[in-house]
Amino acid sequence: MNVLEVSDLSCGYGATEVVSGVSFSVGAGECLGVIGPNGHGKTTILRAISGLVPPWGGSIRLQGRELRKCSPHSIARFGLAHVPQGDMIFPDLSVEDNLNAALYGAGKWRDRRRVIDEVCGVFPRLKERRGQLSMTLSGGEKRMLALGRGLVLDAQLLMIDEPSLGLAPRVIAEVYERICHMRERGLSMIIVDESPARLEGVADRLCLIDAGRVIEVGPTADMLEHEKVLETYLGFSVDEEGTSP
Amino acid sequence: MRSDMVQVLYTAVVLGSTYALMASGLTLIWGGLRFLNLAYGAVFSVGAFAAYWAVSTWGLPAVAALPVGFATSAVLGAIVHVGVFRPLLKRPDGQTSTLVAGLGVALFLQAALVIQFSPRDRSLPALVEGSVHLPGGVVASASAALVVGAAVITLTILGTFLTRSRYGVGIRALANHRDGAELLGINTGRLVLLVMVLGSGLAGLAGVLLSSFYFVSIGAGFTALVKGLIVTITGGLGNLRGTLIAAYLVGLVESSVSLWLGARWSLPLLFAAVLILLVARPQGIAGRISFEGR
Repeated sequence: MNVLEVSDLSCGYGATEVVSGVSFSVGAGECLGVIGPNGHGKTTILRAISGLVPPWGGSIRLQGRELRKCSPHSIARFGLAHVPQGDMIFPDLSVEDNLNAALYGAGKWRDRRRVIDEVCGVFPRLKERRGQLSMTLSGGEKRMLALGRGLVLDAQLLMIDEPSLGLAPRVIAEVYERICHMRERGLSMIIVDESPARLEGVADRLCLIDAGRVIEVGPTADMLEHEKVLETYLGFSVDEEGTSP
Repeated sequence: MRSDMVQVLYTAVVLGSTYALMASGLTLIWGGLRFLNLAYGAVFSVGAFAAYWAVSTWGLPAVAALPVGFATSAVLGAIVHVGVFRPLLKRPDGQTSTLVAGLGVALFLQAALVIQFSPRDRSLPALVEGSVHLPGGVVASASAALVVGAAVITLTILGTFLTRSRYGVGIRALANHRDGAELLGINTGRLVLLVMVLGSGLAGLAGVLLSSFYFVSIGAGFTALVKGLIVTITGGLGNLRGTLIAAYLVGLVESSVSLWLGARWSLPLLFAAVLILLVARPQGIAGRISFEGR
């Protein structure tokens, strides 16, 4: 059974439709990479799935449960963790309290010591910064904290929006290393990234989005060889970009 | 120590505690919800009048005024939030609308109190009796000591609640980033209601404590709002530690000016001092200028 089924999803802002007729699915333990040019609806799709943007039409099912009319906090409690673009960490709270906030939301407050120790095991940097205000963290550390909060939720599906955004190449490599570590736990994932090359070795399949529509979905290796498609929609070939996680 | 110095310090501590109590609910509401609740002063008065009514009608002991004042204002806060603020906060111009609506609610409640109780001042029986002699010949009343003690206890409990409890962590997360909190499974709608209930309850509690010290009056709510705003803004909006420091600083400025220059100079010089502070440090004593993602 698929963890997530999105069928014919459409949504937008005001009167402008940004996403139209999008359908895809994520299987248990699978990692789906969502790629496409900037401003073509990738982030909006994730926001619609997690309830931050109300869907106009279509259906979103998590483990068979319809999410369309649910609030973001209910969706999170049903088992969907969304690490959004910009991280949305709480700057006035310490690293530990950022993680505590996720534990409160997940209804696991009593286990907080154990769960936070576990998360710090995956993200050792957070352990070093545990008592520090999160506004004082570097960009890479903030991303780790956002990923750590996603892990605390112990979700059925983890959606990560642009994990490499605004980070130096060395930090991007570290972030992806941590993501691979999270994948080893058997977590189902959706990762949005502008660069398909970064998803090589991480995502099982890639979904190419353009102008708010799904253009192509396929196994990562096949999609990365589909240069004509990538050139058409991203304006460069994989070889030219040459970045790898 | 000179007796006038003792008198200044004593008045500063009592006034500071009074202002800290007045501002505690306002700080909680601003800290949690990021909007100024201008109905706060009227909710403060309603708590005091409800306690006066319960004590004088049912002959309850004076100490029962405290839970009555807290509960009445807390319920009123919930009603005002659900009936007025919540629908307005969903609109894009929510911040401005709630400001105006808060003023409207305040006028409505004030008029209702005048109709029900007449504009005459009332007095609550003193919660405690007696006095204590301080060095320098200054006599401190037990009621004043109660206000100081209540301010310390209330703010300590509030501070501990916000930093140690799971609801406190949730409220601080909500204040930082509402969508971020929702994505973590936090029911922010329920927390907003909790903040309104607690903040309004604190207004009622302060109303009762201060009415047993001064009078139960319609105008006391307005004074509480103005002094509460001065302290909250000076302290750094939404910052509990800053509020506490500001409350005692404002008390010290007022008491020193009153003693050495005369009471008529206390408010003008207080406002001048607050203006100078805010020009030099717009974020207040302990506030921060801006935060990402709010």
